[in-house]
Amino acid sequence: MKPACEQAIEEIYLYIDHELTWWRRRRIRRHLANCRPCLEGYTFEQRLRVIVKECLSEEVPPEFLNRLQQAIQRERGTVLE
Amino acid sequence: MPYVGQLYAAAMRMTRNPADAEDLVQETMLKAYRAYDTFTEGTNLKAWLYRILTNTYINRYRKAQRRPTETDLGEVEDLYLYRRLGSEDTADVSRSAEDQLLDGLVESDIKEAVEALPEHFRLPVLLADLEGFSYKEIAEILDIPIGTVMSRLHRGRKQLQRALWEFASRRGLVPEGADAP
Repeated sequence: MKPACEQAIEEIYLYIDHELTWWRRRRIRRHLANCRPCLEGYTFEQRLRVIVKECLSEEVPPEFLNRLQQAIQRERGTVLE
Repeated sequence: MPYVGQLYAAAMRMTRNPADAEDLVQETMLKAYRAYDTFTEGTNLKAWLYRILTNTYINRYRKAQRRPTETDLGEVEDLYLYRRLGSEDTADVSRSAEDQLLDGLVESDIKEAVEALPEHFRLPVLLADLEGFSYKEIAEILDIPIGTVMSRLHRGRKQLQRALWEFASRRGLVPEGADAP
């Protein structure tokens, strides 16, 4: 692997997480624009990230929401007393 | 009640079952209401709630949980899943192989893979990949240095990818010749 690719891949998670300074960000963006294998690896990571996020979401059971609301109301009541 | 849905999703992956997740979220919300005068208006309410959630989880539930052993990550490389799909030649991963893997993994695989992560990896991964918190926010929520957040996140994601590869292999979603590591 080329040094430029190695560097880009090393920083790819930071890039996806928006945790790079603007100049390092720009360096990676330029590399990705010119390097298909790295761009494809990056795209794959992005897709995986979206899928993981989607799959981890949960429907809150409505009965639980009701119970929670009641518990909070009771809590408010005791705070006010 | 703000953020209840998100807190519940995180609580489910922490406790691994609905009853404990409900208890955890309820305790979190009640603590938040009680401590609301300590919250500084205009600061990050979501991060504050997650700090209460994770502290409550760590103090109350952690001891009772089984602790999966940490696997040796010495050989896990960056872009692990992607590179495995390409077999020897990294540069040649077909789009169809990618689609087959990404579309074939079912929700329960991903949930199980996340739940199987050791806790010191699981919490940062949940906070980053489910909730989208920044490294700095995660460091504050978990009360650990930012460098530790970065390394745990990095290693946690690698371990997650390795687990997903195993699920994918079992489901026959990986190309021939790209066998389990």
